[in-house]
Amino acid sequence: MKLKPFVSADKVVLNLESGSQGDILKQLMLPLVKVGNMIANEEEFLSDLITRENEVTTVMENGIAFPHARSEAVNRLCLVVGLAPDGIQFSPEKGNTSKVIFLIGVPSFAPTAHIPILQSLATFAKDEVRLEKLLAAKTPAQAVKVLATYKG
Amino acid sequence: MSEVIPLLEKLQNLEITLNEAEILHGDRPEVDDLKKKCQDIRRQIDTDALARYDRLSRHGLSVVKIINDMCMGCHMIIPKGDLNRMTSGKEDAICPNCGRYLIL
Repeated sequence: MKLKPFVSADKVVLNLESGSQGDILKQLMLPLVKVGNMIANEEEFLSDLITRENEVTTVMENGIAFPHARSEAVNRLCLVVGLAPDGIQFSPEKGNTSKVIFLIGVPSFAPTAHIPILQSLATFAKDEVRLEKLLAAKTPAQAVKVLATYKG
Repeated sequence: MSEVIPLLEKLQNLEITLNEAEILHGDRPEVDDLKKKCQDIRRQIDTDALARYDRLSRHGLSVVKIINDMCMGCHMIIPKGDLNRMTSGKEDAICPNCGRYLIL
């Protein structure tokens, strides 16, 4: 599936700062809040994300994280890309640090809408060459270009 | 019928989570735990309802929401009369068009 329709420069966070899981998720949610119509209730979405994360971790073995949640607070399917080239600890029980975090918001009325995106991103995350290119991005536009040209 | 829908919804959510976990983790222990949880819920559900759920699942969601009187499975408007009868328990909460279970 092509990722192009879901990625845009205003939904890329370069240089994520380390902190608690909640702090990192808030940094990733910020672009969605700025857009205005993506999230109806920030706190509810954050709570749903943490609940989902506690159910089964969304961090892959290589440290790439895919926090996502089906939530009443999400109005539209959305994706935010967060980069932390030095690595940050996203999941306390996981030893690996995360350099790339993909936040996916899933509206509760379409609970499987994100599955093709998740599949595509998971395949992308296993490709070390592309990951390096993504992490080398100096601007949001460069990060978008790496993801948008991926045809996983 | 109405009492089985929350269980089917729970099963559906858990199976979606299982699908997500299989995509991200393959066959790791976390995935096995989820499979066991799904089996536990399946044991609590009547076989006819479960068979219907599985049949519907082959074509997407089996249990869907209603938004603005619209079934979120087939996107058809459900007549008010049907909705009233479903809410009052006189009619099964099933979409008259696509047959999916409805969350009232």
